[in-house]
Amino acid sequence: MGETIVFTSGKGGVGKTTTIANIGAGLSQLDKKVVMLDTDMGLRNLDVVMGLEDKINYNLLDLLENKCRLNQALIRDKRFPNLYMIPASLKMIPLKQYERAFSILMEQLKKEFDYCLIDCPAGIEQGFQFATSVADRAILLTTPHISAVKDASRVLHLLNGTKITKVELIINEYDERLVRKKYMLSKEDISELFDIPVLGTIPHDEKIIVSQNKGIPVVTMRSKATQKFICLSKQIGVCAYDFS
Amino acid sequence: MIFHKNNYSAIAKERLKIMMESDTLEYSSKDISQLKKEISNLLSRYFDSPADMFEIKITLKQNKKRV
Repeated sequence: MGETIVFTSGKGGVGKTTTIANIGAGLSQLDKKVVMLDTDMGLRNLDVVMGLEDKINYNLLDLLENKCRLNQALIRDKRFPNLYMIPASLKMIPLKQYERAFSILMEQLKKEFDYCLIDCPAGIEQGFQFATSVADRAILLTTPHISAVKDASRVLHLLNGTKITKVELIINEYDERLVRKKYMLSKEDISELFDIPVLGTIPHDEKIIVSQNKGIPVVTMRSKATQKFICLSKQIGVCAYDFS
Repeated sequence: MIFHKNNYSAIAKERLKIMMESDTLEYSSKDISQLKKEISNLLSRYFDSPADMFEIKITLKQNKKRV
């Protein structure tokens, strides 16, 4: 029986999609069967980051409306044999009516996959509510910027109203040197403010933009971020050890 | 606000603490200090002590948040 993890943040642009793509790839390399779902209807970009934008036939909304079969919406990544994704739709419509269908779909996916990773849209509106309605567990993404941390704290507060019991933090754009100089909030600061554990931190890495431009997860390249993503994948895929 | 010389992360942390606490109650920090002042004034009438003798802490039962 698989696990459903939603990746959320509040603030946009803190690295949710990049993180999902790389943890998805990392987990698949640990022989876990992974499906990544993009729920950012209207602004989908998981397919772009993965370089699979030309492989889209059907999307999540088509699936929820029973316009296609599951295997028609699933995109398999040839570079990562255990990795699949379901892209978001470009249509923006009220999602509340699809929550029940989404829940049923997730039950089906959990039987077939070890991990279902959900890319949540930025913000705290209907997309967030839709994405979090089906998850067992959440990974909260933030950067150390005060505005991002503030938004993440709001998300955390709202997650209290869902059935998600396990929330862990990943801090992106983390700079150890700036933390030592007291210019930047530390992972201990943020963990203390939220009273949730830190799964790990990811440094700024110029290879990330290169990897996105190329349409491949950065874990296929040698970089500082790669090491962190691999580590995070192992933590999630093996057990809840604290490697941070 | 405690003065932190060049400790910008500590400044950020304190500001966030205050923002997060008042967000939980969904009142601004101004409203909360106003509320505490009024409670202190009320207590000072009952206990015949000056208002600044009281330290007010509010705990929400539902999520145990304190301000």
